Amino acid sequence: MNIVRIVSSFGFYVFRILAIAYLVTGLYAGFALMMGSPLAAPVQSDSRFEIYYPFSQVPFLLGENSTAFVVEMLLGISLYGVFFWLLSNVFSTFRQPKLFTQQGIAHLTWFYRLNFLVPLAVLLLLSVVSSVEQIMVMLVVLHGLLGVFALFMAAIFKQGVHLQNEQDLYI
Amino acid sequence: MSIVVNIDVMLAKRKMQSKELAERLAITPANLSILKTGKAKGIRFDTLEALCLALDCQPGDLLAFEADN
Repeated sequence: MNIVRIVSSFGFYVFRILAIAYLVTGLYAGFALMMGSPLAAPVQSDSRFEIYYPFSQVPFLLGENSTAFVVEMLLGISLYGVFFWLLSNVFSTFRQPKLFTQQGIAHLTWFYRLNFLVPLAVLLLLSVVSSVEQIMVMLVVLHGLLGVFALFMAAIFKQGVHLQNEQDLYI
Repeated sequence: MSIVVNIDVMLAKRKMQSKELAERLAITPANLSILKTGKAKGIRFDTLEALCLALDCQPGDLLAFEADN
């Protein structure tokens, strides 16, 4: 159990930091694109844009100057921020002294819901505003598989909570 | 429930408080309350042994069978 705690603590901190970085990047990119100069500027005769690091002229994000690309980029960064946040919650479940808890079930439920629904919804949205590449379909399938594992884990946790509650009544 | 727990009766006979019994059994007052009110699903032999020791009685003094109707 000790190794599980070490790995889950490591996973929790890594993915929580990653989540914050992605969410802040998503917010900053959206803000910079709305504000324009001096945070972002068009390059190569308006066909591409550059977003700079705050308070500098060093390029941070580069992209195609089209609505479809901007939507794709902002959605991708922000939703991966949410994904990493929920993943860090799943890791935090395994750090607790008591493994089977209602909170653990809630974390797993949110995680499998996100993995089942959001990639599919994004794929549908992108098929309307832009073109769908094969790698996106593969990502949806991979997230779906992750969702299936989280669903199974949530079922195990539900059974665990039930057994634990029963066990608590043996004194 | 068919099995009746008579811990309260024995506590009264021994003039002992629930809190003291819980301390002697090394269980929480909440768990002792579950046991006393018959909400427990079962009782472990070591708990029963500790109860008999603390209340100076036999298991039969603590548990009784009563038909439902």
